[in-house]
Amino acid sequence: MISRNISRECQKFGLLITLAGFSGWLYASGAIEGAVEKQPLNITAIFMFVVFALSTLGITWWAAQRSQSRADFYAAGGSIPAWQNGIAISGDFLSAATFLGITSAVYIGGYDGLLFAAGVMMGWPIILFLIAEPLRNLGRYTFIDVVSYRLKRRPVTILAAVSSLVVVIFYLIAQLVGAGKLIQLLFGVDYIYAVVCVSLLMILYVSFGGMLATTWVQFIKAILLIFGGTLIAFLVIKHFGFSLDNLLKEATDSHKLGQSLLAPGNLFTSPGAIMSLAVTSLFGFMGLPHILMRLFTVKNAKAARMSAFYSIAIMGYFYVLIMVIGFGAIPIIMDNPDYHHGQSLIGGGNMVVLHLSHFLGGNMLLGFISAVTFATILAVVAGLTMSGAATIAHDLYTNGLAKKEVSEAHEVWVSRISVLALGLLSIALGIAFEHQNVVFVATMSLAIAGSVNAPILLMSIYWKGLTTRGAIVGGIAGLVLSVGLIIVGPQIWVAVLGFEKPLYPYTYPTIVSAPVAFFVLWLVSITDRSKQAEMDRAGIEMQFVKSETGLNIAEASAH
Amino acid sequence: MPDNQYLASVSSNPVFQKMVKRRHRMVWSLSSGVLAINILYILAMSFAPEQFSQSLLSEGYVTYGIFYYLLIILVGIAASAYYSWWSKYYYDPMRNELLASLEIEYKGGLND
Repeated sequence: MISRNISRECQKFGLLITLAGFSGWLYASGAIEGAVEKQPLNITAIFMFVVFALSTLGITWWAAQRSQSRADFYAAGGSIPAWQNGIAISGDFLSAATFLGITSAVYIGGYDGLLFAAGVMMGWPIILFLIAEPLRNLGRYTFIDVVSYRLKRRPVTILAAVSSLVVVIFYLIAQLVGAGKLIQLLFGVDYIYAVVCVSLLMILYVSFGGMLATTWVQFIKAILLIFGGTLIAFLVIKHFGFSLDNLLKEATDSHKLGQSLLAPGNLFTSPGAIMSLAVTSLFGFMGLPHILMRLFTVKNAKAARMSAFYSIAIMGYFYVLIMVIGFGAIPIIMDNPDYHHGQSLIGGGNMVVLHLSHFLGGNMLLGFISAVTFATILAVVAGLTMSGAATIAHDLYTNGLAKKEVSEAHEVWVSRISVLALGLLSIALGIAFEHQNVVFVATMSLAIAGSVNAPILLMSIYWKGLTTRGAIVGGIAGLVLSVGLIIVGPQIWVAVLGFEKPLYPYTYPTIVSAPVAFFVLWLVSITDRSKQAEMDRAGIEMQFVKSETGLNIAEASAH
Repeated sequence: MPDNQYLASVSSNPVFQKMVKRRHRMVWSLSSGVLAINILYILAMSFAPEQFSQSLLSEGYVTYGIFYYLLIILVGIAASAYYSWWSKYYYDPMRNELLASLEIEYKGGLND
């Protein structure tokens, strides 16, 4: 009985979890989307959001005058200070999914919900140690610059660009569908208006303001979110007399799970489920193009290193707040008739933090938190579009497909057009997918990032044996396997196609597909006897000097 | 090719070799350390979940699970802080020494 209740609750809040790509377990029961009820118009929230939208549009206008050249448009001219970039990176991670989704996961499933946060704290230090500095030294605007540095440019660029675009577009669909539903909940606005509004703002920010405006939007929103989270966590802990012990006691007393609330095993029922999430966190984040792109907005490798460090510290702090908020919501909300229709939470399971903020700070705090949530979605969507546009214009068009040299101005023009195209595409997809099961889309996004982008990126930086053929075949193997296993896994085989049992038991394929991609990449590279392979291997020396020192060979040799 | 000659001189430079060796040793040991601690956490969560719900102190509701969670966050931050500190005080001076010996002003890797 308890487990059935939990799975019913899970169906409701799975939506938000989707935003982060952390959907699967919660959907194991085969639900489609949470039932969403439109809420009465929330004037405070709309007012605060309009203030946010107007001030960010003002910043966009300012940024537009500083975003003419290619380096300005893609990377804000490398002018973002490390601390500010660190906050913006953490803004990319502290999405609506983290804030509403993980707290809801803790509220419903207890301890297991925290694993989503722990996964990030495992993946990011590794990105700092192994990726941040070489990436900044080798690339200019996208991580694809790095993987194609010593390999044959055209094929590697095309493969990595296609895989990145799939990642970005899938993430975008998940975000937009989630955003539409959420805004319907928070603001009492229709789904279609919400999707159109998000897409239009995103087109304006990115096409005019480029990376500079995108960074500022992300930065402001992150500050607001950290402030809001701190405030709620403070009010929660105050409510329990500043005692974590007391908070946890009341949580276990009022939750159906009782003592087992504080033990793992309620959301993830097998070791395989836990481990496949962990592996996905590790490799998936490493291959997200919109996150990696942020590391090019600072002036050098040292600043990239510092911004990764700042973002880790901020995220760690926020995940402590999330724990307090998630457990603290249980005694406050769970038995409170004000926030329930009969047995179910008003507005669905995603609403835990919103109800909590209403309880703690009335309509004012509710309005503020709702506006911050909307801003959060907007910022993440803008970052994704920025990265998608750079991938289309810089990688696919200029370095992949164009037969002749492309001028800088022309490339920036192509980027701006790509932003418009991505924006219109996202409106169309948002409308098309309103009533579809989009859960697998977010999973696929993270899985492809972890099975294609991450192996190629890591090996191209550190393994001299990597050849063009190895990267291509390994990348394709990772792509095919990750997509294939998701299709025969619980999210499509059971939830969409209606079979009784999945052929592959776990939501995330990465625990299989990433190791296979690494293996194929290695095997094909060492057996590659082509002339190109010799050139690829010989290129490591030059790449190595550059990735370690940031030294520009061509410029330096003039001395 | 002047580029290749120049390159060979950098890559055989003893300061460069020392600096790369030390950075690689540092990043791979820190990565394995962080991974090992996280793998332990994941394994404990998978195979000894009952341990997580026991009180950390003799009584009360702050459990080992909560403690481990905070520890994982702390390990991530501490390892990153240590690496940033190490780079600033040991790695960056080595790189500056190298660039000085090559008579190049460090331009920060912006290549256009």
